Amino acid sequence: MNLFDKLSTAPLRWLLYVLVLNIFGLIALYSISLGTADFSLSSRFVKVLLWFIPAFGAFLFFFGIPKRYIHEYAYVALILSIVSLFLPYLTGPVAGTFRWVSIGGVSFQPAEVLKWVVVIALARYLSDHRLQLKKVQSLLIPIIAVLIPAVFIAKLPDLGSAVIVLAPLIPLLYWVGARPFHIFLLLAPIISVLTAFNYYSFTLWIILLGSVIYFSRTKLKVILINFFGNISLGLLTPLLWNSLRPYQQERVLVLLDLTRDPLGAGYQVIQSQTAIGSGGLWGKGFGVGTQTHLKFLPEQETDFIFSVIGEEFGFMMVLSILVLFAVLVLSMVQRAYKTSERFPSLVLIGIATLFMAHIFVNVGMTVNLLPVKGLPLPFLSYGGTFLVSCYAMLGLAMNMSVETNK
Amino acid sequence: MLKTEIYIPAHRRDLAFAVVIALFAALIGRFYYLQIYKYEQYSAVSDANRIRVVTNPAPRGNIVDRNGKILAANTSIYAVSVIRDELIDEEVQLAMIAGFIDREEGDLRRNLKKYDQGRFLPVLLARNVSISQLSLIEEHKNELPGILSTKLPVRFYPNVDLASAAHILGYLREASAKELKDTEAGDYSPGDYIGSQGLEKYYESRLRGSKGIEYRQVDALGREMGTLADRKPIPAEPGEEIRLTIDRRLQSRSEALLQGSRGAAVVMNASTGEILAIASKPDFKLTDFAAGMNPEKWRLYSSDVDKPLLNRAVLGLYPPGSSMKLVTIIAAMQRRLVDNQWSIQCTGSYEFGDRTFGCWREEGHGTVNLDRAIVESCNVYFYQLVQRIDINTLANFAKLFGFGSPTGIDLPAENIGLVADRTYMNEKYGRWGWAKGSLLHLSIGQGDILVTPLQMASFIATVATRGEKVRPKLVQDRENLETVQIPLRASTWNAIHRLTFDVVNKRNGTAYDTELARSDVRAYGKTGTAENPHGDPHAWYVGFANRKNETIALSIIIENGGTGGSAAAPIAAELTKLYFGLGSRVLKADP
Repeated sequence: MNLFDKLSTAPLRWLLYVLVLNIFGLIALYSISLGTADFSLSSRFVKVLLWFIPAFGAFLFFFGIPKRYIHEYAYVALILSIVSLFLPYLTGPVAGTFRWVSIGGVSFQPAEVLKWVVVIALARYLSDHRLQLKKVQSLLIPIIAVLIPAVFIAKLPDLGSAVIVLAPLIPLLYWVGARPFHIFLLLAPIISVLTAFNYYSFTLWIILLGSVIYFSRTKLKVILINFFGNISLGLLTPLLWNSLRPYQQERVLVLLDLTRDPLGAGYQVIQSQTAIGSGGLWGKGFGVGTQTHLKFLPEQETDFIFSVIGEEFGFMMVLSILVLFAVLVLSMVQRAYKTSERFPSLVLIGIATLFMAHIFVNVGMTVNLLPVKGLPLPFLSYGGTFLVSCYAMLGLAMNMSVETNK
Repeated sequence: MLKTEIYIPAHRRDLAFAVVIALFAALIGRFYYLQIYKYEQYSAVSDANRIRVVTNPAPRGNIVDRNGKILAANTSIYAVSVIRDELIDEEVQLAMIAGFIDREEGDLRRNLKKYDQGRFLPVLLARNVSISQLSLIEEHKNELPGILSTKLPVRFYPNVDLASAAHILGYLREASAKELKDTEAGDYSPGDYIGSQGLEKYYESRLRGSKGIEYRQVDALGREMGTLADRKPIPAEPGEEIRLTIDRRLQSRSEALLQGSRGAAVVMNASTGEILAIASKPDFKLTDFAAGMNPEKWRLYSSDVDKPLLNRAVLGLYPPGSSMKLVTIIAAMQRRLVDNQWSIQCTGSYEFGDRTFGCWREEGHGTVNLDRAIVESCNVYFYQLVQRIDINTLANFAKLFGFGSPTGIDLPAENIGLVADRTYMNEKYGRWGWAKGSLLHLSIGQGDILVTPLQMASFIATVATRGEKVRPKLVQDRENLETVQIPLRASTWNAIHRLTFDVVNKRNGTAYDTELARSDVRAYGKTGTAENPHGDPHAWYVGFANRKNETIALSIIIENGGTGGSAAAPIAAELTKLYFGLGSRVLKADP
């Protein structure tokens, strides 16, 4: 089966969606660069165009490669990817973090690749092993498999990517038939941590947790471990909190109270909300967004590019892009549902989850629904590695959508 | 392994769909809330972000003399302001600026608090910044977001050396907290100037003009990116020019003649009330007050025993001395208590009860009738004459001429002086505490009577016009009130005119001036030598002069200057000659 035959059976419209999204991203970048009138090779607009070459390369590679190879080398890839996380420690920090490897003027973020390599490895594990999903213990290996890279990424530090690496676990377990009760138990520690900051919310949560565990009629051992485990975790949280870096704490705090720091992280969100809100129904127009061009909006080419679109093109454009994203994600879920093979189905769900997580966290951040995470928006944000990575994921997803055993 | 089949129940897919749709719906809902529901609010916030409202202070109206010669104009100084919202690090930036403009950081901090108008409006940090200091700030503009350099108009006195008119022009100061709150007074912002003294205060509303407003687009660092086409700027409207009645030549000469003494001079048009010159010495340098009060200079001025800040012409209170004898004569003549036949013997002193009252000429005047009493200013004549007059009669005539009440000049403050009548004396000394001896003092303008030089000018102008009392004024377009007619008999006026004419034109007159006597200008006057507890007597001269229809009235006082004839009258004579254009060559003929 050659590449063109394969393409003809793949959902080509996904590629169309993504290209349209890319064009929106380029328009926004072009608008931003208007003020500087810089269209040299070093301008970001031109750089993105150059990054399309490796991006399409990655797309074709991951689309074309037979699925069995992907399945076969999943674990090797995972180990190599985790090792590559340590490359930045050899080349030195960039902007105070170890997120980038810089070789010959080209920067590269190993964590970007790791996000979907973890998905593949997890998909392989869950398709190879028919887990006794009724047993909580059988979930241990997958949990450890995502926790190890997540911790390493968080150490870079890159809290946003760490959360993204964790994200596919729950949907994948759900997809292979985990009991909602087990997923509840899995999520319980996270809720314990989040509620630990308030005496009343923590008390309420512990009552809810106790009731759910009691009525599930599981073994006494499970009841006791989960109940007291969560209580201890909640009590330990203040100690863990203090081990977070100040700016990480700040980002979470800013979500809770915007005015706590009007010129720090909160300032970014205020300016982003202002940009979006002042865009109105139809936007201020191409190249005339005052929040963007007068530089009130921070990180406008990367994290806050959606705010640029919101300001200059308004609600109608925002709606179109979000609907396009939703159609892409839903379509991947539908493909996962239709696919009869276990491994591709899981990879599709994992990739759909990754896109969904990026979109929701990034867009939610621009409108103050979520804390500022520093996560880019797929196909729209400026970022070389990320663009290549997104096209690789698209290639993978389309690859998995082609039924080879028919 | 790859071939492992999977079966997904439809409800599992449906729940996944539901979650995805719910998440997107949450995002879309949030955008709808921000972009549609809250659009107006965020639009306003976005505008407030990018639009800097800059107010441009209006230059004050010029003050010119009657011929259009400038007395007070405007110039610009540079100032540094700050928009606090745009500062990155207040501490560091203030320290930087303090270094660049060579000021104390504490002063800047104080100004920041004092002139505070909220986070988003420029707050004045320092005035009087030099060009070189300003360029230092401009060079470091990138490190100093939120710092603006502005131009401020301040007063400028191009001819201050010729004629300063410091007291009547007055000066400006920063609007006080009370004036900032008082919206009736006008819309003042912290740091705005307001007329504090003199004409600057009296005509504040006309001189002030109105501030302009400009909208400028700024970026996130506070750098200006041009003006906004959709917001029309409101240009600053300069204050109105005010044309005074002052004649700069006469004012200049008055000041020069008073230079070195403490005293005042008033020259006014007797028929219109227009003040042609009004000087008070010692005075202050207007330039010391032009751009904000210097506390050091202020202390120096206000602690000076010679009181240079006091406008003696309208606020100085003096015993009128012999000039008051004119009022005594008028009172006596109107009541038909005296005629030229009545005479007394002046031996140089006068015994009254157990006290002795002296005449200024110790050897005495001999036989003195009305003519000699005025022309030679014999006190003893008046000691005897006044005994025929009731104290209230004397007080009422003094009040008729405006003593004891304001002249109504267009200045923010004037003293009304003091005219004692019976009630006053009873209150002050008790029913039996004062004797008729006090009346003797009053008859020659001593004791419980105090006047300002301007009141004296107004009085003698009324004499000049035979009772047509006009309100003195400093600004030409000021409305003239209806003239108050003082109904005296023609014979009284004639007598007063004849007597005062003799004072200047007769060789034995206390203010005899050869040149005036020989000219076609008819000069009239009365000298005064007012005893006071602070050393030498004050020298007075009040008089008027006319040629054809032009009549000017003059009032001169030199504190502790000695006799009116020697210290005050020559000043009046010189001003009269200047006004009527008489050369001074004739002076040589004086024996």
